[in-house]
Amino acid sequence: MKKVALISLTLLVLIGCLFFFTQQNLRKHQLTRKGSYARIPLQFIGNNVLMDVEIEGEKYPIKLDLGASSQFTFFSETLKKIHEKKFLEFVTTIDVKGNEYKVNSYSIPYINAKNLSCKDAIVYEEPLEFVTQGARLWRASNHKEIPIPFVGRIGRGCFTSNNLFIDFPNSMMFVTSDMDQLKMDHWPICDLFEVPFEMGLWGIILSIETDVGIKRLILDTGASASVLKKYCLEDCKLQEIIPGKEIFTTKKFAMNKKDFGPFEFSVFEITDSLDADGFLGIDFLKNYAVYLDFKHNKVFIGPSPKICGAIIFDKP
Amino acid sequence: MTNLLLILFLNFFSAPSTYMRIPLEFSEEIPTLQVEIQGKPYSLILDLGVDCEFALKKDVLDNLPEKERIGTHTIISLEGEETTSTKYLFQSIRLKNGEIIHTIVEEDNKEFPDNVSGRIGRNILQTYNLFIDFSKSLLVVLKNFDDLKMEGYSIKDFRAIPFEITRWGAVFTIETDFGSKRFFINTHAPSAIRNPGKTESQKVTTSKFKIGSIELGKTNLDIAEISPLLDDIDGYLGIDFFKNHAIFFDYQNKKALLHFKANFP
Repeated sequence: MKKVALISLTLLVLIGCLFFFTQQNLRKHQLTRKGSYARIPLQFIGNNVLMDVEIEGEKYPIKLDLGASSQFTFFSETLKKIHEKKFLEFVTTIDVKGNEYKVNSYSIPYINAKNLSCKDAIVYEEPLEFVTQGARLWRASNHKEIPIPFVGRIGRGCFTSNNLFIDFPNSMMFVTSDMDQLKMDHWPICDLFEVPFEMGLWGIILSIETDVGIKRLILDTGASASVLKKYCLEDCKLQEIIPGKEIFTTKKFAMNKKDFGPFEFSVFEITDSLDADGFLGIDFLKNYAVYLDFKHNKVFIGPSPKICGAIIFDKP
Repeated sequence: MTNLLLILFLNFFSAPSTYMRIPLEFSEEIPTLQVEIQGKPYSLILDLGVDCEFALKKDVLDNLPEKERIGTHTIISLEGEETTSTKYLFQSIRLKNGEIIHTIVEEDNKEFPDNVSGRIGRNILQTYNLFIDFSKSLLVVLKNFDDLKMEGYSIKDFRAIPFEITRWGAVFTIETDFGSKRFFINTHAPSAIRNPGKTESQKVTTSKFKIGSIELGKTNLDIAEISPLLDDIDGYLGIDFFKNHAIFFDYQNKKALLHFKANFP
């Protein structure tokens, strides 16, 4: 009996140690910030949300892509410019069409953005065709190739130990552990509407009521448009707006009973491995302020506040 | 949440000051005040007529490196012209006895006197209550009217007059010889009214000038060029008015308290 108790205790200690070291290892790669919050300016180029990061004293514009599970991805050309990097391993990534890419992953000592710092950041090498083909679902007939305005992406892997307040209309993002920290520093924040989310393999999944039932959509700041899988709309009338691109308009578009409709989806075949019915993209998100509480699996959505100064009186 | 409650609790008992006394100077009759931005002093016009927090000349803005462009802002002039200017977020602008944090500064292409770098508009100042007494070169940003006792004012010497808050800021409805007219606040020009008839004179005189229950009597007004598109205002109360009348603006309760003078009934 004593032996069983001893073995059980040893196992418990081992599991505890394993959990502790796993957490420590995760923390090692997480974003840390000086101060109670970090405010990161965002820039919209087209429907790309960009922010600057600094590596080895150089600034790089990267895309904010919360649909990506990784911490960072960089194009090969950019990675070549970074001197201090350590090869980690080969990893396999997948795009929305189901194409797989076997890529190098590296560790970079520091990637900084304002008062945020990611130590030993994990960076995947991004094949250019991931952006030019894999992540592109359609191309307009009058499409003109323009230079890609970013050199990589920052994914939700960086942020899940923090919370994010992303104020798209005011082009700024706050990284914090508590929204009250922003209120205490006199940032205006409007009333936000609470929506629970589940964390799936592909990211933050919101359950949204539409005319064709409840659809599970991945909140994706990297998606320029909101997309529904074609199989969700088998009996529905779709409108082909240009060859190869169909849209579906739902009158109802409700989250936790609050209706944001009508709303227009682009409709495409998306890989079956996606554990959701589509994506909620920047076309929706850019009109709102969104607070992502990763600890409690809740999203808060609401109007963007009017930024205004606050008067701080000197103490007498 | 607990942190927030704790800070509110501590703030309540430590009674932080909500009183900012700002001395004014007059440059070519126009009220100005001193600010400090990124370690350098600047003189700004007090312009409660303008819909902005701060506006700075382009060359001044160009020499202030710590700023972040955050879009544009369109304002409409009295002549009905729309002007769009670039907006920047500044971490801090220091005033006498306080500072304004994460404030919006716009580029301003208006012509200013040489020693003036821009203006402070009404948007930031009307987040609290405001007291103006140009005769004493004084501007106070404050919460409680009673605190003005510190400046030697007697509370019983003030009378309440109502105002509305509109896109033009505080607007008073005033009875004149030309009927009931709506005046906003413009602290960098003499008081004026839209041409009430077909006068070719640059000035008019009204013997009646009644705000709320207070009859101020004979008042001279400039003729202002106000676009017919702006049909919700008829004129503005300017520098001369605030030199003659100290006034407290209680923005929350939409009432002003006008200092009692001998010419009041």
